[in-house]
Amino acid sequence: MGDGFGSRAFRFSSRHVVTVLLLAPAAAVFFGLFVASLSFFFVQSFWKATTFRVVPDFRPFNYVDVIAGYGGPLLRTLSMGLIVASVTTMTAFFFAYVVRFSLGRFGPAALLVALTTLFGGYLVKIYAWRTILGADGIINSALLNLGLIDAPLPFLLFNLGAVVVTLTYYLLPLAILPLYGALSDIDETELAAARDMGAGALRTILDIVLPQARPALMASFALCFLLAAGDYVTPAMVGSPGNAMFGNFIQSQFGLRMNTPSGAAMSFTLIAACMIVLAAVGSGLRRWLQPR
Amino acid sequence: MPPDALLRLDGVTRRYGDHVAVAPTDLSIQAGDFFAILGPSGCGKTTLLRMIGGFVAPSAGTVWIDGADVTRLGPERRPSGMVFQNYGLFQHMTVRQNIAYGLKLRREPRARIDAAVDEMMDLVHLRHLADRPAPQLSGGQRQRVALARALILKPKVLLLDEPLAALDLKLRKTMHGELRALHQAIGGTFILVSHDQSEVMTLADRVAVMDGGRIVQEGSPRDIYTKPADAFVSTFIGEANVIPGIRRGGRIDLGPDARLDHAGRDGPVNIMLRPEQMELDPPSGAPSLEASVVDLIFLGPFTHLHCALDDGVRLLVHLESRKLATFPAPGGRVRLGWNPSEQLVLDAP
Repeated sequence: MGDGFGSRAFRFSSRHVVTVLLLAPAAAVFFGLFVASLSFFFVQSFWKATTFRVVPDFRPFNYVDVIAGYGGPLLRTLSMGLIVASVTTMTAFFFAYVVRFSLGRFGPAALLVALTTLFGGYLVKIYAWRTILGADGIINSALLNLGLIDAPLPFLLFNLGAVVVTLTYYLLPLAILPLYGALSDIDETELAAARDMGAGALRTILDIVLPQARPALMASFALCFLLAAGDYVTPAMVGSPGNAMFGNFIQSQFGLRMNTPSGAAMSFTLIAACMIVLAAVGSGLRRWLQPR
Repeated sequence: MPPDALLRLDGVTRRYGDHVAVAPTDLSIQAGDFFAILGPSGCGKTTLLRMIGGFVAPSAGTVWIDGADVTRLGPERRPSGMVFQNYGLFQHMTVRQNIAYGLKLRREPRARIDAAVDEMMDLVHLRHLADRPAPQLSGGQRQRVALARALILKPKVLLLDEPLAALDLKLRKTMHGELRALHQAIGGTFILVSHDQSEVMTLADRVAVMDGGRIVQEGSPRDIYTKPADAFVSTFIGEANVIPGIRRGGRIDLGPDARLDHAGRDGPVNIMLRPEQMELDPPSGAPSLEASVVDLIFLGPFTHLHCALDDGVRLLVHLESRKLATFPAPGGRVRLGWNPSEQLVLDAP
């Protein structure tokens, strides 16, 4: 069957060509823009910065300097990322759960409303929250007009709370999508069966729903955590000036200070720290949600 | 109503807006019964079962299980167990974990749980699959896990919602045997919902036939087969020939050789005859009708004769092949008769 084999081999190889062509644009972007620049800065993170110039060198001590000089901001940033990612993922899970299992035919409409918050720019949202939380913002003027307070509440804006609120609002629709997808795949009969066997609503969520949604929980959490921990605009605009985030320091190393080796070392420290946190969260979730 | 009924429904009703899914229904089921609720799809049988299990709240009426009013209790607080139509196995768990889940919720000691699960897996022949994840099971294996998972909690009533509908015919027959054996071994009370009359005849010792949201007849399968309450029941349980006629002055006139004396109110009636109750070329004196042969199907021991009366009414006759000297040819004319003592005359609605 020489003919048949030949034509099959031809079809096989032409399918390969198509696969390669389809992958090419994404691969070009990934390697050209992401891997190449990251490799460049990884090399540079060991270089030495002198006045107005960076000199090739091998200084692993750059990393020690980062930990020694910015350990506090790093911990603060990771904690903020953990808080934002936890609050957002939990809120998103409850929302997706209600849309999937409780709202019936109104579910898709509620999902659509939540996703409309994806419209509108990132900066617009930050300014919106400044308007809401500010000294003459919506909350304070409402409370003043109602006579509930005599002076504007100062603790609404320019602190960690405001950062968490703003980032949670921004990240929520992104966290809902993977969770809703995962919950759609769970058969409602499983929930009915768990109840029939004596599990209450909370037990059913813990034992049946969460374990099956674990990959999506992790995806939503990682998405929120990485975006929150890497963010430097929101902390600068609604956060406390005295408690800048790690991203703000990286920005200033690349900007005003023109110390790219230090900025690069800080960037890779943040990436490594984030990966450690996510690995810990992932294995914690796995252990917690294991069938008993 | 016997006082020792294990399950009792008093006027249980379910409405969805203007639609009445289940009309006020009274039912009592004795401990140890294998009870079947039989009806076509949409007749309300699944809704009735879900009200017994606590998954649907009745619009009116009371559900009693073992003397306790459970109407307001959710499924997690009822002494009933359910096997769902599509099983609802926990997809992230193995066979063992699925079966053990209910006992773990009850916080039984680990050793007791393991022993009970092993015993249950032996009962439903799953021991060799103990550690297989649920998604890797075949239809029949899922069915067994669902059964074991419900039975291990020793429910006072086991509710089976079309449990075999998703299986192929051969597997269904195997599971029929296993279900009967299981019921006999455990001695529990089973309530089966099904649209498959042969399944119900095989399994149940009592049957309620539902149509349009109400129970139209209740009794043993034999009672219902031999004395169906109306034409619907007669055609739903087994096969039946229904010949419409009109009664005037105590006589029903179906044709020149089929004038039946039958006392009753004047008006339309249905004569119900099972296919095996009709015969070819009856002895003189027996009522008979002339019909043309539409089709003839030879099935070995039996031959099924499909006929039509001149007014279009279709008749099915089961004949023993060995008693047939010649086989009637399709298109030919035959005379079909019956023993009037076997006919069932039902007032048409």
